[in-house]
Amino acid sequence: MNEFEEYLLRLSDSSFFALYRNYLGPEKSPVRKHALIRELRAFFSRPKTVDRVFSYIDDEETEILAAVDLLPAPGTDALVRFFDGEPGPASIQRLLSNLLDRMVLIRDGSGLPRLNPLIAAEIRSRVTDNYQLVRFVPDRETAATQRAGPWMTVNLACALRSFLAWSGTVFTRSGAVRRSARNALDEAFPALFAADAEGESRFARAIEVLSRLGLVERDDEGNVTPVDVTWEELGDLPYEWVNLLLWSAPLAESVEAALETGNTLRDLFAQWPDGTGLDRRGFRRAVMLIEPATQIETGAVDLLVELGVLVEIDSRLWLPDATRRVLATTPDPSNIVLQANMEVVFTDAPPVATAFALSEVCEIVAYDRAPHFVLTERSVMRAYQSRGSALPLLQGVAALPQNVRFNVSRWEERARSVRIRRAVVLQVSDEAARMVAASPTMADLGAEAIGKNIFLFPEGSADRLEAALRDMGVSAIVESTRGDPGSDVPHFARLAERYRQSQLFRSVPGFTPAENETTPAKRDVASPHDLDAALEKLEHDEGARRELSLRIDRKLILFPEQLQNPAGGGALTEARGLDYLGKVRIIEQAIADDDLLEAVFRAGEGTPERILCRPLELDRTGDDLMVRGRREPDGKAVRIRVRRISVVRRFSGTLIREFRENR
Amino acid sequence: MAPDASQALIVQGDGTILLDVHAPGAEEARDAIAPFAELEKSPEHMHTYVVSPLSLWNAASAGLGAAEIVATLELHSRYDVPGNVRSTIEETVSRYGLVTIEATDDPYRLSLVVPVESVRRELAANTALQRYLSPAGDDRFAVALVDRGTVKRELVRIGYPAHDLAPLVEGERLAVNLRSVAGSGRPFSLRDYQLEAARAFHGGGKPGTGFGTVVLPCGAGKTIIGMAVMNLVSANTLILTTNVAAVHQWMDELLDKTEIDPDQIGEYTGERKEIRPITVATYQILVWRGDREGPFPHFDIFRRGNWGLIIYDEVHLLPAPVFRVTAEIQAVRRLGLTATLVREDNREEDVFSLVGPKRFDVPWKELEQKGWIAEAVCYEIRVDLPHDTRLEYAVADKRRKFRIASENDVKIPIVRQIVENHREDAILVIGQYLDQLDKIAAEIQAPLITGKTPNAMREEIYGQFRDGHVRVIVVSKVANFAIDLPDASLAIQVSGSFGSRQEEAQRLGRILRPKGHRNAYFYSIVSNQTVEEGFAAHRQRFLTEQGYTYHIEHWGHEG
Repeated sequence: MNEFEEYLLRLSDSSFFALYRNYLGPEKSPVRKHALIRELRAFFSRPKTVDRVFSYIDDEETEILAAVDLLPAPGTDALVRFFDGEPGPASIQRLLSNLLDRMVLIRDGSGLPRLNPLIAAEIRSRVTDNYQLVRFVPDRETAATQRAGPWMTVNLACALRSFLAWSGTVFTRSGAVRRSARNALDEAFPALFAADAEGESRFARAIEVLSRLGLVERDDEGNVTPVDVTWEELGDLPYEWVNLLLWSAPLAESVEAALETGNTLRDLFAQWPDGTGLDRRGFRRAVMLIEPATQIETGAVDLLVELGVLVEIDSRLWLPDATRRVLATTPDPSNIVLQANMEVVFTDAPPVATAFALSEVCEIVAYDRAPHFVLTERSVMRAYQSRGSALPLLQGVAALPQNVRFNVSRWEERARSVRIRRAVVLQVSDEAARMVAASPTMADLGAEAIGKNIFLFPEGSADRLEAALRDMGVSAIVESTRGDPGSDVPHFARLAERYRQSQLFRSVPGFTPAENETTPAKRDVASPHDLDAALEKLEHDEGARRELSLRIDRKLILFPEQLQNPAGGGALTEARGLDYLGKVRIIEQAIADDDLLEAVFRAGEGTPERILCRPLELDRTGDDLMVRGRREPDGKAVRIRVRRISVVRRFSGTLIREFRENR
Repeated sequence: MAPDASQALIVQGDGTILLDVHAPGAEEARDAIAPFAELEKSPEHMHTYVVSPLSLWNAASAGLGAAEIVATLELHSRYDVPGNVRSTIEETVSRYGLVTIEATDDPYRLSLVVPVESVRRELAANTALQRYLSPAGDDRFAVALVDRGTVKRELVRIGYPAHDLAPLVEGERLAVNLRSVAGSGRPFSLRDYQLEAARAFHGGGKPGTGFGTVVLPCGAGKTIIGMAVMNLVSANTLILTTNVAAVHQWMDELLDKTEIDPDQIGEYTGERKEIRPITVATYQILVWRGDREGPFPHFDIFRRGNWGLIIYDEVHLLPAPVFRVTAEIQAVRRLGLTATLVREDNREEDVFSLVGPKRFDVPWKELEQKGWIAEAVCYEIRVDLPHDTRLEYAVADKRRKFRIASENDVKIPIVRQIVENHREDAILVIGQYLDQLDKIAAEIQAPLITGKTPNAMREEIYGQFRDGHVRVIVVSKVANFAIDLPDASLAIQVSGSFGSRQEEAQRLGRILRPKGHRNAYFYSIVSNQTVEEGFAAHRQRFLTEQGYTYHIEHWGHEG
C-alpha cells in the first residue's frame, strides 16, 4: 500500500467521506473503503484532474507547496517561522487546510504535510521552484558590493588581541569606551574604530564577538583580557571556519549555535548565485531551507549587514565579493612579512594558528588593509610567560634576521631570569616540616623548600596539598585559594570535527535558477466563473447552494459534475459586516466544535488586524459580546469585541477536520 | 576587485603605501608613485611610502592630477584602493591652485590671488595670516615680499598651498662650469642620479621649481649635486654648512671640480668674513649674536650678495633663526641637502615649506647595490656593566643610568679589540662624552678631536687621516656631520646622544664613501641590560628602515 492510500485510511470516516463525496459524489453501498480509495486514487491520477488541480494553484499556494517540499519538517510552526508574517499564521493555516482538502497535500505518518505523492513529481516540475521561493534577483553589480566586505576577520581579531593585551581598562563602568582607550583605538584602528559614536559601537560589537567565542573575558571593571588558551583552540580551525565563527558569534547564544549558524551561512554563501540580491524574507527562507533549526531573526540580518558580511541596498541583500573571497581564501605563510626593523606585516591571509600566535607575541601598530605589528621587549616577555619561547614560531614564519633572533632570545632570557611566580606557600611547624621534607607525596606535588619551614608548591595545588597533609595527619588552614582562572574553553576543533562528520557534507538545496525550459511557466489560475454560472443553473436549496459556492471559492470543485452533489451538513462558516448574530453563531459553533477561528477586526488604533485563534468562551461586556481565546500559533490570550469584528471565519468548511491534531 | 598578488603595492586606508619589493612589478610601481608619494622607510621586504598633502601638492605643482594619481595606484595596487584614500587625494589635489602668488608692479609687494570668495574670507579671518594680508582688490590681497615664505607656510598649514607664480630672482650671473677632469687629476662626471637630482630641483627654470630638498645617503655626493645645481642656475651662490671643516671641504671641492677662480670663493666663518660670488658660511656664524636678545648681525649676508641660489647643506640641522630668515628670502632659489631628514624637534615640515619640498630621494640600499656607496656591515656589540658599577646603575635616575651605561669602561678594551681586529681599516672612534673619549684615545694612542680642538689642529689631524699617516682617530660629535673622510672604512660608536636616529645615520655616513670592493664596518658598543639598549634600538630605527641590519653580539669582558 502506498503513502497516498495509507493517508486516506488514517483519515476519520467523516473526513474521508466528505472528501469522497465532494469529488466523486455519494458512495454506493455496500461501502468498501479500499474500493473508494482506489477510485479516489484513479480520479487524482487522471491527467485531466491533475491539470485542473494545477490550474487552481496560485502564487501564494506555490510558495507554500515549495516550502512544504523543501523543509525537512514542514509543520505549521516551521512554516510560520519560514514565512515570517507573509503570509501570516492564519493564512498559512487556511492555505494548508485548503490544500489538504484539494488533495494537493496529504499528511505523512507523523502528521506533517507532504506533497501528494501522486502528483508530487509534477508539482515540482510544473509548479514549484526553489529559486522562485527564495527569489534571488539578478542585477548589475554595484560598486558598493564590490567595495564592501566583512570587517570582522581573522586579521582584525589578531590586531584586537594584540591591542587588548596592552590596553588596560577599556570600558567605563557604564559600558562606554574610556577616553584613553578611544584615543588608542583611533590611533591603531583609524579606519574601523575612529573616536566617534560609530567607531565606538563597532568596537563594542567586535568585543562582543570575541567575548561570545570565549576569546576574551570582560570584567565589571571594564577590563577586557584575552584568554590565551581559547585563541589556541580556535587557531586549530581552518581559516574559513574562524571567519564564519566571527560572523555568526553575535547571532548565536553559544559557541555550538555559532558553529551551526556559521555552517548554514557557509552553505548559503556557497549557493548564492553571482550577481544576485535577495530580500530579507528570501534570506531567512534560504537559511531555513538549509537548516531549519537555524534562527535568523530580523536582528540577525541587521548584524550581518553591520559586520559587512552582507550589504543592503534598496532593501535587497547582496553578498559582497569580499565575503566570498574571505571564504575562498587559502591562507599562506608567505603572507606574513617579518623584517629586521622588528616589523611584522600581514599582507594577506596568514595561517590562523600562526597569526594568532603572532598576535600574542607582537604589539599592534596599525590595523589596516595590511595589519602592521611590531615585536617589542614587553610583548615578547609577556608572551614568554604564557606560551614559552617565540623563537620557534618566528623561525617558522620567515628567515629570521640575526638581530631579531638575538633580541628575542635576550628578552626571553630576561623573562626567565627574574620571574614573578604564582605559587602555593606552605608554612609548617618544625615537626611538620620534617614530615613534609621526607614525604614522597609532597615531592610528587613539587615541593620546593625556600626557607625554614616554608615550602613552595605549584599554583593550583592547594586542594591536593591539603588532602596530602590530611593523609599525613596534619590539619592545614588554607588561608587563600585561587580558583582556576580558566573558564570553560570552547573546544572548537572537536566541535568542528563533529560538524564535519555529521553535517558539513549534507546536501543543501540549490538556489541556482532553473534552466528556461524547465522553469515553471507563469500559470493562469483558472477562473471559477464558469462553475458559479453552472451552480446558478442548478436547483439546490439555499444551504446547499451556499456550501457549494464556498467550495467553489475554496477550489474544491474541479469539474461542474461535482456540483450535482449537494454537500449536506454544510454549516455556515463565515459571517461578516453587520451580521452580528451570524458572527455570534459562528463563534459559538467554533467553541462547541473546538474549531479555529479567523477574525478580521479593528485594533485599538483602528487599524485592521487579522488573527487566527482558538475561541474559548464568549462573555457579555456591556451591550456587546467579547470572545476570549488563544492566538495561534503563539498561544497568547486574546479578547476581541464582536462588534469590532468585520469578518469571522470558522474552519469547518473544510472537508478534513483533524488537521489541528496533526500539527 | 579580487586581489592580484603580482601587483607590488598595498594601499592602506591611512594613506601609506606598502611596496612589496619582491613582487614582479615592484620597480615599475616604485617609479610610478615617486612623483606623489614620499619614501618613509625601506627595510628589506616591504617599503613604506606616504601620500601626504605636501607630496600631493608637489605632484599637483608638477602638473599631475588626482585622476592620474588614483589611476596609478589602481594600476599597481594588489587590492582596490580604499575609498577614503581616493577621496582624500581628490580633495587635497583640488585645493592646489585655489590660491596663487603673483608678482606686482611694486618689486617689494606680491599679490595673493584668491578667486573663491569663501576661501578669501577664510584667509582673511585666519589669525595667523591676518597681519600679513591687506585687501588689494576684489579677489586678492597684497603681501610684502619679505612675508612670502611665512604666508606660504601658513597657507600650507591651513590646507591652501599657494601656487607661487612670482618669479624667482636671477641673482648676479656667474658661470659655474664643471670640469671633466678634476683638479686632482681624476676624471670627473656626474652620476646619473646626481644629474637627475639636479634637474629635478632646477625644473628647467619653470614656475614652481628652483626650491626644494634633495635627500641622499651620506657619501652619495650631495656636494656634487650642489655643484651641478650651481652649474644649472649659473648665479652667485651662498652655501651654508655646519662647521668650518665642512666649509673648507666645500671650498676644496669647488676648486677641484669646477672651473671657478679661487678668488671668487669666499669663506664666511668665525675666522674670516669674506663675501664673494660664491660664499661658504657656517650656520653658527649666522646665528651668532652679541647677547641673547640682540639682533643677528650676520643675517645681513643674505641681502648682500645678490644671490641667485642658496644651498643649505645638512638642512636637517637648520637652526630656528635661519628658518625665520629663510621665510623672508623666498624669491631666491633654495636647495636643501641632507641624508637624514629626521628632526627630533619634528620640524621636517618647516624644512619642506620654507626651503622647499623633497625633489629627489633614493633608498640607501639601492645606491649600495649599484656600488655608489660602500656596502656597510653593522654590528651592535653588547658588553656587560662591571660588577662594581651595577649597584650604582641600579639606584640611579634614568638620565644618570644612560650616562653610566654609555661610559661603561668595559667598552674601552672592546674598542682596542676591534681596532686590532681591523688592521687594514681607517677607523673613526666616535663618542659623546669627553672623559670617555680621553680614556679611549689614551688607551689606543690615537689623536682626539673635540669641540675644544682648534680648527687648525683638526684640519691637520683630518689631513693626516686622509693621507694615511694616522689610521685611527677618536672624535666627539663634532665629526657627526659634513666631514669628508673618504678613506674611513670603519666606525666604532662608543656613546651617543640618547636615541638620535639622525646621529646614528650620520655616523654611519662617515664611512659610506665607496672603497673599491671593501666593505665598511660600523660597530656600536652598547651596555648590556641597560637603558642604552633601548636608546640604541631607537637610534637604529632610521637605518633599519633603510634596509640595514645589525648583527648583534654579546662580548664578555675579555673581548
